[in-house]
Amino acid sequence: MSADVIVRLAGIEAQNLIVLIDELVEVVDAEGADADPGVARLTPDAYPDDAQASAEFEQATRATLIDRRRADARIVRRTLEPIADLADAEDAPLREHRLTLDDEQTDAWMRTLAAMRLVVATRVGITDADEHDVDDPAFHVYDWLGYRLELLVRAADERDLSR
Amino acid sequence: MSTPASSPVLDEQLTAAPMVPWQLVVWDDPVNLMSYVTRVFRTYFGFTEEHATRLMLAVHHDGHAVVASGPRETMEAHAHAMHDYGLWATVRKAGE
Repeated sequence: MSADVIVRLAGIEAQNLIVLIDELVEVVDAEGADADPGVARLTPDAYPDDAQASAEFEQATRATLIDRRRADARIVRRTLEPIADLADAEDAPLREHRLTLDDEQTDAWMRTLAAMRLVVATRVGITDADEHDVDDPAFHVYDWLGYRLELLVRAADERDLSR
Repeated sequence: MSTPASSPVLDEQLTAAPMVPWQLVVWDDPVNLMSYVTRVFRTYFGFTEEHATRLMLAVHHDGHAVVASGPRETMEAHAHAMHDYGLWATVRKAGE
């Protein structure tokens, strides 16, 4: 019985995820990232009614949270690169590949997909789960990231049950 | 199993100085998936699937839920962990 989580995805999905992961790292590393609403959503205010406690908490956690995004991005990227390269070499972007993720990789994948959705949501202006502009191409990226995350959570939950 | 005789004075002190004065509150947001929030509650806090689901639904329907309570430092560590998963969590004094 395998303890790994299996992810199936097309070569082009791996390539698109790599592009989005690199964009996420660019966003958190950008000059002025402190003022970016997307980055703000990744480092929420733990004390909205207490400015001093809020600043102290941010001071204590912000760098660690941002470091985690970078570290997760590296882990996820490494799992995707062989598939993206193969899709290029074979010129078969739609061929489905099978990826096995260990615990650390699974968690990094989930956190990264969730973080990318949060940042894209601030860009698209998603303020209600049921309301969105379907003409905005970014919405479809957001939707697809949700689909990938839902599949991964399901696979990980099923794996846990079989342990 | 024996039961020690309780001291009324001690009981009064416990009531006057509650041991659990801080709370971790998780807030609803339109982005995080219900399945993901449930999984975070289950795996991070070690809650059963049923309890994790109940809390997730409370967050979803009531806009927020108290997910843990205890010492301030512990609640801050939990809030940091929730933020690490992309959840929106705050810390507050119980009763506020």
